[in-house]
Amino acid sequence: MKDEWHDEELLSAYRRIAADVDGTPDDVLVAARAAFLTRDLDAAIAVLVADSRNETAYETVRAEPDPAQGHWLLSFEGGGIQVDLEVREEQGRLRLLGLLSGTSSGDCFLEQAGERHRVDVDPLGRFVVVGVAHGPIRLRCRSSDGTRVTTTWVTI
Amino acid sequence: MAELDLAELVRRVRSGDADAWDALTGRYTNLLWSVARGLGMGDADAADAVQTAWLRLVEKIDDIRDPERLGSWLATVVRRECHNIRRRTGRVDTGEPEEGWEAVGAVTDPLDDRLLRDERDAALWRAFAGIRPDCQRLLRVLMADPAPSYAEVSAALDMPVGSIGPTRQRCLACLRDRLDGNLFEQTKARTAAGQRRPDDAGQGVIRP
Repeated sequence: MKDEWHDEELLSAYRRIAADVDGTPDDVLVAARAAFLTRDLDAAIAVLVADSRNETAYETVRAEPDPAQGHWLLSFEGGGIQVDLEVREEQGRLRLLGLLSGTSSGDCFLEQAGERHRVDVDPLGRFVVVGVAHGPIRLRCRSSDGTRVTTTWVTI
Repeated sequence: MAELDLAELVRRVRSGDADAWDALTGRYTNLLWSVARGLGMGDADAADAVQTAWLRLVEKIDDIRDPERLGSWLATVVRRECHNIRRRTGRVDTGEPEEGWEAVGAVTDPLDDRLLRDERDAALWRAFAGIRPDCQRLLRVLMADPAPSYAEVSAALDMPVGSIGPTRQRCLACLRDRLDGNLFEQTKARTAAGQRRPDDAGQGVIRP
């Protein structure tokens, strides 16, 4: 029997079975197609410059965020703005505590799964969003000079 | 559209062609899903990791210099996202994105016998669930449809291209060893019960 099970044959059999029992769910494919709608040629991108899940850049920061304890920090920079986000798990949902600089007030949105929610930013650039689900998010704001800036997508 | 080469697809996506984007997602989403499942992600986490890769590509599409490496790029994004998810859920304490996968095997629990065409398929999937985690990861990625290139597998699992072939061979040998025992037992049982079916006439040879 061994000789007859060539590697390619065996893998092909598994490829077929994997498609049966663990194929790509339809909603994953639909979301992948819909991702194209997030394209915004005019917006500047604020890139992720630090993520406490991966790096030691935050070592000196206060209470030592620990992702395993449902608490971590993200920083974005670009397009003239800076965003610091503290992410904390709260009863299965997430609470975002943010600090923006270089943005104009009152025009900031959180995007997730095709939805957009206005973020209330106080005069010092701080904001809180509660009840956020896990998944990819980004923030869209305007910089002080009016440029539209989005953060890069990040999974929280 | 799907048969266009990657450079042309990427060029069309840049010019705003949604059909070209659909073709790209059609070509790679199963690879990305397979990577996330190979790295042990549950349904929701795998979906998030895959979606993040596509969203990132939308951002980066104008910066892709070598469209032939697109699959590798996407696979790398998924691997890193899976790492972030594991860090978040406390399944790993420390380490760089490329570390800490030793004990993580593929998701093998979605086995539902009703979904499988016959006992042979069920036996195959059970054998897969029983091999070493590193073999599960590799083979689960290789099960992607269409079949990934070794460069894509290398990016997905952060392993050298040169070690994929020999590891694949070793892992498939382990699988065959398990199958020989399992399938033999099953075939014997069926024969004994007089349930041997006409399509089993091929002495248990696996046909894709």
